[in-house]
Amino acid sequence: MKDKISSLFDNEFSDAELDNLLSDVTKKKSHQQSWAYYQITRDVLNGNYVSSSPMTDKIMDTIEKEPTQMGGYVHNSSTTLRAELNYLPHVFAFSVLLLIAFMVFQSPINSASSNAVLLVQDEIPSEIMQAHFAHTATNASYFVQTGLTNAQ
Amino acid sequence: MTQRFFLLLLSFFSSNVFAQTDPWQFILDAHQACRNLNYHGVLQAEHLQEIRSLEIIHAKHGEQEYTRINTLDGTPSELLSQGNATFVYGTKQDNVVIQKRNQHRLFPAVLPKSTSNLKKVYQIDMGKVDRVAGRPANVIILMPNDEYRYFYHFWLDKETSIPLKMIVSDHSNQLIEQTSFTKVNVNSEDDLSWFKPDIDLSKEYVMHEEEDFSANTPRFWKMATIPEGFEEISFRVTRSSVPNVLNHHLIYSDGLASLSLFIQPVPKGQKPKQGSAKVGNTNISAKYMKGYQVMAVGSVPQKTVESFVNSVSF
Repeated sequence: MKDKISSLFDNEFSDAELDNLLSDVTKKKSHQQSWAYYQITRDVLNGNYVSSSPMTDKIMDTIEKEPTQMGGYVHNSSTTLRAELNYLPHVFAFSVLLLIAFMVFQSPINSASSNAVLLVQDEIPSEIMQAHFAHTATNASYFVQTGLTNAQ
Repeated sequence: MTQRFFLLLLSFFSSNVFAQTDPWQFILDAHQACRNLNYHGVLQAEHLQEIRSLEIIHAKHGEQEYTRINTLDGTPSELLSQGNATFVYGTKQDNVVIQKRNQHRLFPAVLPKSTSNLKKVYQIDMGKVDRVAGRPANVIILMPNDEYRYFYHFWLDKETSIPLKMIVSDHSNQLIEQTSFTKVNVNSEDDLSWFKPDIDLSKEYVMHEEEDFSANTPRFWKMATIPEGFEEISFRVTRSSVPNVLNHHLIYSDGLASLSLFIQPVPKGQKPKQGSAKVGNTNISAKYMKGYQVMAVGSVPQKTVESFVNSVSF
């Protein structure tokens, strides 16, 4: 059965075989696990994997409980131009905010130059070491086990 | 006439013999072997006084390279690489964290595709034929021309040219890093059924991706002269764990040795660092300039990391 599920994800099945497989998958728990396994494998290798965390479930629940607005807005051609122009101050304000945000990211936060302390082994930022090994290590053991400090 | 013919024949044979024993050709052959051959083996890697066993499977399928590496000791973790896409699966508490990495240069595929840069900064020599993982191997030694990099010793499989062992040592002949196959099989199997992660359905899989802002970030610093042979191979800009702080990460390499240069604004309330330190065999140098922390990190001599930090100006 695992081989069949694997073949399915490799697009090696006809429609008739697919119907049989899907009815089999729904019957047995071990088949359902294989199904989940190959789905994760395929999504991860394609770079499409999105985990279903409890937070995601909560957000989806909240969205489902929100009342749905039925119907749309009436389009009034006489007010369209004015409405478009009304956006201009907002666009300008947003651009200024973006510029300020960019300057905040680029400018040093601590401008005092006389308070530097001696670098000691125990106080070397771990994120610096992790980032270094995650991109330069020739030792596979280091490469695969590093970079998890900042991961959630 | 006979004498001329004899001289021509002699020069042909001598040049042919030289071509076969040119040690730089061994480096190129090793690079090609690691990319094009299918191999499966167990290797031991030593770094920072730790020895770990790993299993590696590599295959060339069509034009694509496929690699799977998984740790055999300690916490389970593995790497799957297809072409330029590399994913690392690491266990953290009850989760498996999946990270996408841009590139990797992992043993045995550590030798560059061109030797032109290496020839500028290393001398090459051949040692006696040795035996590693039950296979005869040619020994190649790369000796640095200056004090900005270490010595590299390679044991290359006589039959296939795949590196079977690598030792990095400093100028006092102290061991910096060692990786070696304990077992390796070279095959021509056209099977990729092994190329999948070892999924544990009892764990939650979490994708951890770092956004790279390098495309829109200006370089607000200048680099003076850096040690010969080192070239910038990567530039990344990521968000720091401190809010509103971007971390600029540059990677330099001479083809074998590599180091990281970090440029980061110092957050309010944090004291910037200055000076040099060592973690295992990794050297670190730090400097504070005009509100920025500049830090160089690498498995290179102290002199090299200091040189990179001192070459930055604003």
